[in-house]
Amino acid sequence: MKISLFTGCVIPIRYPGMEVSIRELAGKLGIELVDMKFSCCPSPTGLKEVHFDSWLTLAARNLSLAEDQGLDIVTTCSGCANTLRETACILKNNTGKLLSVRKVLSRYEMDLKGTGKIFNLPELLARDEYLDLMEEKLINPLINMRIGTHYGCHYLRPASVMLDREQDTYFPLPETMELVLESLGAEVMEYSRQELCCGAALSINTGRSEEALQITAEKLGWMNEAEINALAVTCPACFTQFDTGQALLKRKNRNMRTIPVFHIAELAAYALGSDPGRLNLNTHKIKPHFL
Amino acid sequence: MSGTPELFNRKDFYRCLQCAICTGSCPAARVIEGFNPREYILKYILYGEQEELLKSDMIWCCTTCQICQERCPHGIDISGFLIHIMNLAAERGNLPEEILKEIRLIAETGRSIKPTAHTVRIREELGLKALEQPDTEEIRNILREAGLKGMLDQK
Ligand code: SF4
Ligand code: SF4
Repeated sequence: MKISLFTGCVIPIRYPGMEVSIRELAGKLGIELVDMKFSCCPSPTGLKEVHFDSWLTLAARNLSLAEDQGLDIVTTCSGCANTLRETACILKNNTGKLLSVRKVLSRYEMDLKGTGKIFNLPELLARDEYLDLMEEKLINPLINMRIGTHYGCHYLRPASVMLDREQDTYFPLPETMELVLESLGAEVMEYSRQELCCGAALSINTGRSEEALQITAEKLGWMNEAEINALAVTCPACFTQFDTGQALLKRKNRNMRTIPVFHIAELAAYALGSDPGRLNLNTHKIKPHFL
Repeated sequence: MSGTPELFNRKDFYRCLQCAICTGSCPAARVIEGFNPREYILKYILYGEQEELLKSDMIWCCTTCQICQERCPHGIDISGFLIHIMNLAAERGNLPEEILKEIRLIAETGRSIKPTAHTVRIREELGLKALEQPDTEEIRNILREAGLKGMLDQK
């Protein structure tokens, strides 16, 4: 498979180890990643709140770059996935918006027909062919890992756009990460209120980091109640909120139980034999000692 | 004005029961005293107290997590409504410094965060390619033409 990689801004700049994971993982699974000169997605918690049409048009530009090469997009951040999928959906259903976006893009010799698809990394990995391949190539099974998942709000909602299905308040999760983690040998755990927010945007947007940490601490409480010993995320913003967040919370409460956090690509790459040093896993604030 | 109004249907909000399931589910409301999506609907749509709300810095506490509308018994698009309110507030100059900085950085560099010398070095050490350089002039022009103009100019 050949697909264009949309890393977003945070991973290549703050977490280059995650980028290594994504690339090594794709290599092991025979996925050819194409790099393009994408801009910021832009964020559903940033420009979208401030100037909707600019958000939509810049996102459409990104879609157009991939479409022009005849490629679908794989995202490795829940925020990017949300922006790109919602933009595709709005432009498909709202002719007025589509016309005004195309008008701007046409000045730069770009167009958008809406033929490209946008996938989240776990969505791709959860395809039967890749699940089988991961089981086959498993080198370091994730044994002793009682892992919980946190998809991030923007991976999940609105369900009609992000999960291609009706929303279901009883079963809000798509379980793509669960399938991947099971095939990597981990024990997947459930915990209470799994679909709720990590709190990151409150801190990033308004600087109210103490309050944001209260949201995070509450979620961590439910994870600890379920006695998970690792957390898998799909989004670098959620990663920061849980990883750096726990380090900050621990300063106030030295005896606090901590849970190492991983991007799903890091876990998959490691399990398929990548060297933890190359994946830069030792830069996590909450050390993943058991790897 | 950026085109948010067509993305939510005002009439949907007339069906709001004021049951407060939205506020009860809202992570921001749990930790920020005074942040209250149910009350925003009441004030903005039903009472028409618009200016007061548009001046409030509190509205920016929404994380856009959308759990409110997922749980709303009437499926009201509360998050879309809040995006609309925030767009209007921003147009009047009410927006957090954090977000304004981020937007100006996108216009300047194409990215929402700035790579440091450390980033460059670590990427090299890990054997990653140098960061792709997006076409910043084109990005800036597209943002302007889509209507962001004023915000990029004011200093
Ligand atoms: S949950 Fe829906 S109906 Fe209830 S107060 Fe909120 S918007 Fe109104
Ligand atoms: S989208 Fe905003 S208002 Fe709705 S629950 Fe999330 S933080 Fe609260």
